[in-house]
Amino acid sequence: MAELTRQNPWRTLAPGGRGAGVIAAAACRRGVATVLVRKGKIAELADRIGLCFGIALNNRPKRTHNNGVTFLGVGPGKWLAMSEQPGFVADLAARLEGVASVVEQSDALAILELSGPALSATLEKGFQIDFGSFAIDDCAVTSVNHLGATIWKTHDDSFEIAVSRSIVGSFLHWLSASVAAGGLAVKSGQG
Amino acid sequence: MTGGYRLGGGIIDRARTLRFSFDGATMDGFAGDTLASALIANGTRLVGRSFKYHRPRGIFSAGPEEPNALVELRCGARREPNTKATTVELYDGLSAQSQNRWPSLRFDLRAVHQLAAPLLVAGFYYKTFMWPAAMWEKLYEPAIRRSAGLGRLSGEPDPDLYEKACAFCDLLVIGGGPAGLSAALAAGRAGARVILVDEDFMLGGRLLSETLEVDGMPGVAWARQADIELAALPNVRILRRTTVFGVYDGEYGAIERVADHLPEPAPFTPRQRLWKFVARESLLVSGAIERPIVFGGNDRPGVMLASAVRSYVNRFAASPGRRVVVFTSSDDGWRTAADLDRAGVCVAAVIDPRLEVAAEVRALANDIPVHLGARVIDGHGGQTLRAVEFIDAGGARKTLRADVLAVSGGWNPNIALATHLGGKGEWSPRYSTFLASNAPKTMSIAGAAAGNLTLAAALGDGARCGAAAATRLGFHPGQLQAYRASDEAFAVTPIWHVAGARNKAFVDLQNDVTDSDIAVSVSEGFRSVEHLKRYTTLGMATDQGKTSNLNGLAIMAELTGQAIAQAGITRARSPQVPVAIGAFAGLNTGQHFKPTRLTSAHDWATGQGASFVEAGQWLRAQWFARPGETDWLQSVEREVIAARTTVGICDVSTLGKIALSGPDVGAFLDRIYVNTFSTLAVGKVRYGVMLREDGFVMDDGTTARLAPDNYLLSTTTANAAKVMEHLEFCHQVLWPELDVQMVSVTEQWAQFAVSGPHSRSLLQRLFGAAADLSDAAFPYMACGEFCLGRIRARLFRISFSGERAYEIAVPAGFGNALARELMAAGEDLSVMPYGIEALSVMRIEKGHVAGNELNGQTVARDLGLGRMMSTKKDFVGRIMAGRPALVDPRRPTLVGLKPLDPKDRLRNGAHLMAPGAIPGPDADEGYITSTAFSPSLGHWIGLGLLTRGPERLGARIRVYDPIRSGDSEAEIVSPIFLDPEGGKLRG
Repeated sequence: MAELTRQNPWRTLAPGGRGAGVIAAAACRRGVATVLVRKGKIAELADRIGLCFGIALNNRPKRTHNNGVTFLGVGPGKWLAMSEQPGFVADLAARLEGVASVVEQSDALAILELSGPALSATLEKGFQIDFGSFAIDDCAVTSVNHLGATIWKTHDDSFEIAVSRSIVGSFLHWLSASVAAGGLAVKSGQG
Repeated sequence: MTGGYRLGGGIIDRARTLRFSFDGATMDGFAGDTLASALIANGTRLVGRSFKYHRPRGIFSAGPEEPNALVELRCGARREPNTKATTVELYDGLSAQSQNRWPSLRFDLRAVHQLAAPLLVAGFYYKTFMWPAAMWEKLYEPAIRRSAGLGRLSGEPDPDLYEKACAFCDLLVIGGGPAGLSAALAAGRAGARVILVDEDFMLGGRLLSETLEVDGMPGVAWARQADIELAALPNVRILRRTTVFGVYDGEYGAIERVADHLPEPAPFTPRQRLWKFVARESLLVSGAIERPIVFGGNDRPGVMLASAVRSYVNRFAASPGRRVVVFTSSDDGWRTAADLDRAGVCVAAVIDPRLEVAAEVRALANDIPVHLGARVIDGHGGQTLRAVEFIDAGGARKTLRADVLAVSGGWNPNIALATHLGGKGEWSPRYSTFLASNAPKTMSIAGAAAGNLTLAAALGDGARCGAAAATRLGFHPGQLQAYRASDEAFAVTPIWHVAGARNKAFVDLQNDVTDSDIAVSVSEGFRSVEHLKRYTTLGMATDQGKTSNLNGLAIMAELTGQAIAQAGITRARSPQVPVAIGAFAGLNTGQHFKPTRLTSAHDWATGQGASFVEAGQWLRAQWFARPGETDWLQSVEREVIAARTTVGICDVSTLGKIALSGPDVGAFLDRIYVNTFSTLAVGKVRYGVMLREDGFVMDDGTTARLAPDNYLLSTTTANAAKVMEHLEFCHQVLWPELDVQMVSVTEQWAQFAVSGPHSRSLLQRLFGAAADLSDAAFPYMACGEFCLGRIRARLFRISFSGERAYEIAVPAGFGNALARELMAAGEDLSVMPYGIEALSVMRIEKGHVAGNELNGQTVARDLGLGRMMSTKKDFVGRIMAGRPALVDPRRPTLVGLKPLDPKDRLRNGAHLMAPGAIPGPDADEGYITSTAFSPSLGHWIGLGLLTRGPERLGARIRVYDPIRSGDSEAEIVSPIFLDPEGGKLRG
């Protein structure tokens, strides 16, 4: 029987420009799922997630996370759930049986962690978001240079961005052109 | 003095000499110069030729309102035509050329146009080049474009990068002059997020060009101090070399000239950046623009705006000439005389049409001869001004020798941006100009732009408005800062036009519109300023008539006996300064014009020699050429034969895939599709057709039931997003009571069609014991999930090709590896990759409809799918699909077409009509939608939509294709050319 190897969507991510104005790290080991609440089950879903993961689910564009599991509010009654725990998506689907639909998206989304002193100057060249009032754990389903993207703030000076796997090349064209004056450094992925 | 015209003082950096060239002549300037000021300092007066008459033109202003001094900047691929020398920051190595002249600037043969001037009046083109009509495109327009016009583009790809950015703020301050600075300080100190935008490379606006003081220090020093304080505030961002060019709903467009002041951009740096500002409020502090006076010869090089003369003398330490006459109807013009006198430049006279001026204004002239009640009637000279002719208070004509005539007709507040959202100027009798009315709701106006024309008034107004805006935005500004500054005199008695000149009197210098053109326009019956503008082209040039509009409409008002207030003013539109198209494109040029989506097996397909074609944003493999193949048709033929005789694989990952979950999915799909899905068994796939609300077909595809409450719906590649949107609309708006969840999983799965007699063998090898793919265990239209090594793969037994076929799906990360594995596993089965051309050939052979037939104009019956429409349930589009016109049996319906002569080629778009019919709309009975050369049949075949098609099988039809000289006959046949019983796909 065939044994297939996974291809990293960020395999063409490479340093560019001079310096490390922006530091990028590919997050390739995450299990990702779309969680969609079943009709009228929001309270049960929140209870279930609180019980299973110790997370207070937020039905707003916010990140909530605990112990390596993250929920991002990406629409009313809709979240992206992420974790590096092996078998996370299957486990999540089992835990949320009857209260939510869980759809595997681990290969659909390419996630990049970005940080660095030139990051805000870079982001404003593609996103049309007021990052000045974008707090840690804020999340937005938006676009970057006409490419669909989801962005959330993880720390004071760092964000994570998820884009569809098929547009990684176009995204990297924007990123490398927008960041190059300050320099793009690449570090090994964090998961 | 450099070149004899460099003065002392100024705010140029004399320690940094910059070498530049103009029309090949090398010159020196200093850092802080503009190209215009450096040319003036070098004694260059003749800078360009006019648009229509090719008259010699010099430098008229010192800013973006410049109508004359347009040059080609740089050379090679970076050549940039129509650049205003007054806004070009000098850099070392700058190369500029004059434009619109031949063979040279000094000797321009096209100046002969002046001899034909009596013919070249407004409307000349419209009246003269009407006959014969065919000559307009062939001769007249090309000839006119060659002889008129401005600079030339390089014709080469722009080597530079342009980018876009978006910034948010509480208050956008548009203008960095005294009012802008005081406003930004007030709001910035209060804590508001402020963006201060200024088009100059130094903040200060008119302060840089004046000798006025603020708080006891020179205005320049105060501006620098304000700059430093603002730069230190973390909540204030300063953007120099940036012009706000347009106001939109809550947003502002601006262009930042990031590297225009450099020979070429630094590595990784854009040439220009297009900004979008989202501001809660804005403050327009764009100052005012001095207006000229219309008199004969007012376009001679040396005739300049008086304030511009002051800029060159005070800021750039460059004297525009040796002997200056000042012609002013405003107090402000007298200050030019005073500053020139102070700088040691000879002022021959001040000529003021007013009979009286205030004593303190009169004192500004010191010992300079003054002619009150006088008016300049003509400027004389050739390529430079030599003399000024005026009529004194007694009516006597007098002439003064002069090489510069500084003209001041008062100031026009620069309100263009305030009118972009529909506001218009309102006439102010006090200021004899238009002030903004109905400005956008979130825009305030301050400083000279609001009519506060003195320094003290502008500073105070700016601070007040900045603080008021901050307060409205929820901040708490401290006590308003009072600035000490002079309240200089600014009285004006407007004089728009001096009649009786011998020379041409220009209203719009850039478009060569004269006072006579205005008169012609009025005599032709044009009474509206908007009509005047379009008939004469007044104000339609790259300067948007910044120095001409008011004079033009004032002349029109006078000629039509209206007050200026009645005549009104044209509305300005964005962009208020020219913006390079490249800046609007930003990074999205060439292959990056739009996003490109690559399937996960793109690398594999590239390695297989695929030629790709755009399918929406996707790149799809079209065919895979093999050595020796010289024609795409050869490749496609080989691929079709392989898929029909052995096994082929095709990447179908781009088809839309939507996961639907929940207990009500079956009911939901029953309402979406014309056919029933609630009865679909788990592990089965069904083909479905969905309609739009209007009854026409929206899309088709298969839906698989993977689990009791888990379906996977597929769409065509083109309609993936549209179908997703449709489903969400239906759920959220029409049937929110249904417990259904849906999400696109197109990106999650890489999917390959495996087609051909050996497809099962190949897949069985791949899965080994993990799957039983026998027809009994996995029949046609079955689906299931199987282990493939450590991952789970989905398998669907469906066929677009008509062969035994499967579609295998794996998580997209494994798509590239799966494609390679399929090729390896099928090597001895003669496996062959095939592209979408072969896919298309095979679907035409099988009569499957696709995008060409699902064109938004067909109903299910047209496509032979009418019987799929359930009569036992309701579904979207059911009622509208029953409209008489949509069930008319005469509607063109899907048929197959086979050329009578097998050598004939059928082509998409060819019209179908009865043999012998005279081609025309009445004879038209349909058209061909899809064609292919069928390797299986050995001739071209086609699908078409033909009136009463299914009733005419076996009949002949004329295939008429006049565009490609096609005229042949075909036999009407069933659209299913191969295996009509479907035995192959069932095994």
